[in-house]
Amino acid sequence: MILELLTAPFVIMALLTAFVLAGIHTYLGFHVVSRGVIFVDLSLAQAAAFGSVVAISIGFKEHSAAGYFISLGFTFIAAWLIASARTKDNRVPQEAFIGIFYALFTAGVLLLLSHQATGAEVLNHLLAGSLLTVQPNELIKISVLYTIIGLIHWLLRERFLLISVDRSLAKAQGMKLGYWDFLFYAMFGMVVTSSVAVAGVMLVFALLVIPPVSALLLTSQPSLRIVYGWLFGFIGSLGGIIMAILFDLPVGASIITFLGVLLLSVVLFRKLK
Amino acid sequence: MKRIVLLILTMLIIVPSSQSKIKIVASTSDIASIAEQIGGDQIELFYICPASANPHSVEILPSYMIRVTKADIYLKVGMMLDFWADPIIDGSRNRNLKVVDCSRGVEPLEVPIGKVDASMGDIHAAGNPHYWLDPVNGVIIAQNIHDALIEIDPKHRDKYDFNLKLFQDEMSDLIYGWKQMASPLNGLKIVTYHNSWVYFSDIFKLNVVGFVEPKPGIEPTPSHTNELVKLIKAHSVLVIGMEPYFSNRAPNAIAAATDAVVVKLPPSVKSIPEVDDYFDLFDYLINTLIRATEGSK
Repeated sequence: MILELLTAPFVIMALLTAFVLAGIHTYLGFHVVSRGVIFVDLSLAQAAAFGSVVAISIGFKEHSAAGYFISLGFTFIAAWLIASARTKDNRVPQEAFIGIFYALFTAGVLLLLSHQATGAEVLNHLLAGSLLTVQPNELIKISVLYTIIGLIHWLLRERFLLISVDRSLAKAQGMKLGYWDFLFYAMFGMVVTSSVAVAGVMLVFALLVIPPVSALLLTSQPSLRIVYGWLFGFIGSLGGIIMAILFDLPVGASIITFLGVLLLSVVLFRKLK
Repeated sequence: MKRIVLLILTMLIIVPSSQSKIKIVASTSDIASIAEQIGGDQIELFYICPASANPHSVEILPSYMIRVTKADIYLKVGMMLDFWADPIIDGSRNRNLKVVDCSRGVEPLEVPIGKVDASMGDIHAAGNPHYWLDPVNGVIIAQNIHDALIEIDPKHRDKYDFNLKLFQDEMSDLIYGWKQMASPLNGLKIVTYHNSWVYFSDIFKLNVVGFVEPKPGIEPTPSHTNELVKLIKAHSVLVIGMEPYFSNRAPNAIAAATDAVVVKLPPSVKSIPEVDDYFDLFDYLINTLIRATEGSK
């Protein structure tokens, strides 16, 4: 019975999409965790959401190309703001600005939606997404985009890693930090904008943070970390989708819960060891 | 991997045809209740929007997708009320699914003139979508369901023809009776929460003078509520009707400031225990409104 269900076309689409999302977000998650900017994703996602609500307010359709680019534009603005919102002496932690932008963009969304009838639905969709109804063209679109961004990251991996892990060394080597930060956040923003449209803010955040944190708890070896991270991401997605089908629950929240259970098991495992 | 997926997919396509009942998924309980009358024992029914919930937005669960994956017919309310049905239908990738827009042939009310945008509230370009609340439209829905059934299951055409005829006859008697019953309501001034009662008030001659929502789908605001209190006093409105799934805070506040009473009007079959099918719906609504007007005098 469950095997039959797991092979239903819509479940396969949801699984493939979750795997693609887990693939890129787990990788980017290591950067985000090393940079200590855990909530940058929520902040950029909220900027993307704000952009798409702006697009709807002007009169564009929710999933139109124009809507996407307006949304992306706001994500870039937020990426630039975040990248430049670092004080030289770290008097104010960057996380503070990230939190502030999150609050501002959220407030903007609420203000814009307050006089729109479909506001509650748009909000719910932005938060929870709908993995169950992903269309093949959406999956292809994000797969191509994430492959390109993944390739750029792989080609420039040493620089990106250095700037995430050891900023002072990067600066000493003559890297322009502002420029690299913006490049990182802009690409990150493109991923987040596309992912949020499919999977919603909460699931994207969970896939970004929980697998890398679980992996970092288990091993300090850089090459093993990413493998563990992906394993957590994939198992969490698969387990969450099975859980959603077995108990007839919303898929996004099920995956988040399953990832949470995995993380908890890792914490317990470390305690017992 | 691809080969395994293909293999399993072909298995999946072969499996469902084993049962002989026509599997129907409907967006709402109202459409399902009418389908039950037409399909009888020949069909297996499921409806998506929980009867007690607001049909304007629905959280998609795996079981809905599974039902639609295996269904023969999907019955949409149409007129963009159940726009959430489209991603479910597309996502299910069920190529054999017959999708029926049950509003086909219904004469729409309140079709907006000119461009519609989100700032106007939940305005549907095709017109006000609450058309099942006029029992005459229920007969049109039945006809649409009947047509889909004889296309998908021509073997049992006689049964569907018979059931449709029976339903039409029963409804024409009932509609006559309901109109008689509702005659005390003729011209009754009423305020409703959402703009969902135009079809109902059109046939039963109610006079909807205002809405608790400032625009359809927008939560009540203080300034609009103030205006409404004045309006209710000016028109001596006695009844504020609301769907059970809305918050009763604003209606209660308005009722407290005026002589009107708040009455819960179930807009759908099974949205309260007393309303078990499409016939009960009108009995209950008319009786409730009559009782409310008598009580408030």
